[in-house]
Amino acid sequence: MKWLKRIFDKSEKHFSGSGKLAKAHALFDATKTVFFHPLRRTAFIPFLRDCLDLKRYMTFVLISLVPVTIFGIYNTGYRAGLGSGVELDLLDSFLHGSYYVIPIILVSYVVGLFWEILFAGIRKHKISEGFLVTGLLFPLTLPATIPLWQVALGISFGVIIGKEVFGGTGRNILNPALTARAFVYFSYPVSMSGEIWIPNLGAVDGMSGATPLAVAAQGNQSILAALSDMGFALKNLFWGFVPGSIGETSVFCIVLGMFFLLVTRIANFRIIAGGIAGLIFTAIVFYLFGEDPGSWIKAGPLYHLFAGSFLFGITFMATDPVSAPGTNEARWIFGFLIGFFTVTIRVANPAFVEGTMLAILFMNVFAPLLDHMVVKYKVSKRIPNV
Amino acid sequence: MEKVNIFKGFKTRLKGEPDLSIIKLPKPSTIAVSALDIPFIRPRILVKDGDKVKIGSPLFYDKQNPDIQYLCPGAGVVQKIVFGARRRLHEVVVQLFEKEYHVEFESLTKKALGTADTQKIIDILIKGGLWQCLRRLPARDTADPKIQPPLIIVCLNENDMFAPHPGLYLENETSFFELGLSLLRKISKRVVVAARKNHLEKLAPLNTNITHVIPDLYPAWNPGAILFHIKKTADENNAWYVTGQHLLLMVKLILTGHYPIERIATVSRENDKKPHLLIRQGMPVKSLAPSLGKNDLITSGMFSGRIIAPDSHMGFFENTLNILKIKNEEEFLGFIRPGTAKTTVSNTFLSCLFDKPGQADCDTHGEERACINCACCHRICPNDLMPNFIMKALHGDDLEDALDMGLLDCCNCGLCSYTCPCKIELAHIFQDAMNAYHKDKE
Amino acid sequence: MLAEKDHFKEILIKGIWKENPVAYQVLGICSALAVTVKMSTAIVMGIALTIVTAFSSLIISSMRKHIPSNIRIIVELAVIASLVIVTDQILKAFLYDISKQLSIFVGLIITNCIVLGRAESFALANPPADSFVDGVANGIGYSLILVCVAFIRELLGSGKILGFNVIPGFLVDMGYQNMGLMVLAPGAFFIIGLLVWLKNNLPGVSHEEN
Repeated sequence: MKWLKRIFDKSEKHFSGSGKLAKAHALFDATKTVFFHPLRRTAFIPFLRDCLDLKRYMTFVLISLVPVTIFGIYNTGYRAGLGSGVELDLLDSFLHGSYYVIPIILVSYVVGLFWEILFAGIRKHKISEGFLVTGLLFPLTLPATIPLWQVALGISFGVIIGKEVFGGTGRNILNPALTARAFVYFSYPVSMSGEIWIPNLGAVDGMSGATPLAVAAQGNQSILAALSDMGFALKNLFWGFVPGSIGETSVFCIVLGMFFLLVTRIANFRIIAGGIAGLIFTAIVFYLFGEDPGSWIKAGPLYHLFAGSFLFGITFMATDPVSAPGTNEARWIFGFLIGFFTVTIRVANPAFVEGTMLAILFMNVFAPLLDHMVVKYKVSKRIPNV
Repeated sequence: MEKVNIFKGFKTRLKGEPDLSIIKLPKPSTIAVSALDIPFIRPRILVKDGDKVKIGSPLFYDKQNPDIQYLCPGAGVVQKIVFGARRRLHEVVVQLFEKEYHVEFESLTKKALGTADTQKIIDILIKGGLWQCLRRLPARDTADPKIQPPLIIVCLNENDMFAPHPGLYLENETSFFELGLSLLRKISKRVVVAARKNHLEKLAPLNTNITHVIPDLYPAWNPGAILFHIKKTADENNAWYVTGQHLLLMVKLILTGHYPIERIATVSRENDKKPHLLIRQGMPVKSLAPSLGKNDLITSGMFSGRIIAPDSHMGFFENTLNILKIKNEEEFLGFIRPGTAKTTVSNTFLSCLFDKPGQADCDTHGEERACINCACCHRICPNDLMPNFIMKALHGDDLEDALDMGLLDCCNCGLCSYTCPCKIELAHIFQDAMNAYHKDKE
Repeated sequence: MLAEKDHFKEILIKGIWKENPVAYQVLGICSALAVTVKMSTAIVMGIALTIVTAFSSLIISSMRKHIPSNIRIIVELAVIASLVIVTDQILKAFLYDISKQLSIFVGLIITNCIVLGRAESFALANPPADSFVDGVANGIGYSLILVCVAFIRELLGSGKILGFNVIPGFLVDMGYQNMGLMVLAPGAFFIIGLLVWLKNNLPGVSHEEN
């Protein structure tokens, strides 16, 4: 790799000091450190340091997203085929899916990176790796039919309002990817509503198909019967052959990613476990005390767990350490309340069929408060030392 | 023996653990007393170039506490006095004579030691230049002879992972050690002796004297960590501590009337099995580690020591040298390599699957970023502090808040900085804040 | 005479830009959120507030030596309330539709912090002419931000400026959609926040030392 190193060493002068491209130094630096892990000698105690750094930390989140992304691409292509009445095979589905999904991911990365470089240039700091995750998480929460300019606006909003106004990665209070999604969700409800437009090959207009959460039973039918009538049996939800946002459909792939994050301890298990517990608890409470058999009140905990974006959100969004609480006790509460609010918004609020995004954003806002309470409690238990 | 329950700490093993043989090093040509490892000192020098000194002659004292003198561990001529930036005293170097003479201090027989009153013993220790072995938590400044401490912790292990094995320096010295404990009991009502669990076997003759057993993970033997886990009330925060080796020196000083100069030290280096070394206080670094390369960083303790210049001398409190490799090659795509040979406490490298001793080098392995609140520091802190929150409180100049959260319980083990994926200098920030607070209080 | 002109100019610049009531003093945010969905309401609200602030400052300033300090708030409120009621009635008489859209917010000018704030902090300590200019300046400063916010919100939120469609048809055909967020109250929060951020941080525009 000597030649690559030489290229970097040679071009460094253009990007630094009074070079022509000095404004893009942040970009140069980011690229260089991706290829060549930077050296920096320790100056203070301890003189040896762990090999884990933020680059690797964030890259591992990306790795955990690989199964979800690949399945999302496949499913999009497969749905598109169904929309125009053809059953596509594996490769064709994948190719058609790429046609829809890859541009969305590219736009998200390019536009997001533009803002990152701009702010890094103005503030004279390095490009933070947190962006790598935001840039991929955001597209995965979108339906495949979203117009690309909305993707660009969304990621701009997420990066600027969700992150940079607070000072960049590490200082934000909201998850930037979810902030971006919330922006698109409220700004362009037509593109984002529970009715997902299934892309239709060749034809100008697509056909609409409801996500499982938008299903409501007719007449005396129970919600479970209605769901399986529409093709949302638990098995389909588990493997993910249902319409929905790009990344949220397959429980199996999400669990793969979750497993990876938990084994490497990148994600905190307390948030995920608390979230699932909260969801199951709340779903059972609603199931026991709810009245209307045709609505999601009576769907029971498993359907609540598998349908919609809850698992995706609790695995990849809620575990973002920056916007989640930093103390273990607060993490349990944080996760539990996300589960609680998700179900509550789903069944008790007629305006939103899906509650995960709002629940996580809502709890993000409360994370510092939870931390504060836990820290104060712990302080009160200490033997004072002043 | 009471068990101290410390669960969190550095569980990975590192390469370079010294073996249990002892080699006596030849007499060096120079010897020095360093001022760099002495906490909060404002030295006033008592000698000048060319002065003749004996073993036990004072070289400098602390202006804040003129009684506390630092004595010369060899007889010879003062060769040079080294100053650093802003005329900070670094060390006083003495060229040794062939034949060395001692300054005679008052001595006591074993029997007299048993009956002597406390003040007398304190006086001998102060005159003999060994009172400063007793240090006071949490700031680790020199203990104040005028007050009675709530408890004294005898740490058989010094701070570093590869510090000298207590079984070696205490071999055949049981009676001296017991005398030392009786001496400490005169100073304080409660004396705690803590030993590492897997050192117990080698310490068998002393087992009746050991009060606390600590688990075998760094930094459980740090006095700050021990105190945090055994303290019951807030008065105990200002406990004193002394290391096992220093306690022996104190006893020898009182019994012989001569300033003791011999210590047992270790030099650790990756891929290098090194024995324990019998050295003199203040030997040149080069005589301990002769084959130093350009790519070596020498520290007195890789987690909590200081960087030592290759041509300087060991300090009064320092008995360990860790030689760390300086990395010069930037790793290609380093952030995504599987990493079968990387040292880590995280689960993100394949090396965490095998129980192999890890390599150590002095690279940060990444660049500094803003704290992402991952709480890795909390996960590893032996004293259960929340370093991320304390750091943020200090960052916002809220010292009160940081103290409430236990800033002063920090044992300076450096593990928070070690584990931080954002490479924030947490330990350094805390040390600075604690020192500033201590100076403010004085 | 020249000095006097400069003096008024300074007060004007201070009120409109340097110490802009919304962007610098962060006053009057409540009504700024409520009436900025459309530009027409924002303009009328701005004019109404400018008139009220200007005349209340003038009147209070001319009475300032006769107002006992312990009941000054009551006196000030009486003056402001009378002016607001007059304004409200005029709006109802001549601009009924807009007055309906502004609903309670014209009446609430009484409690608008800008009016009382200027009366307290400026009019009570300065001669009537200065106070009048100061009132006008702060009114214009408030209106300026209001109109800016309303312009952005109306343009992005409903594709109109002052009620006229401005988004060309071919854009809509290509898939343009209006930004629903701008019609909601949070939209105004974001816009005001961004404007304040720009005003305070953009080099060359900012009057604050960085």
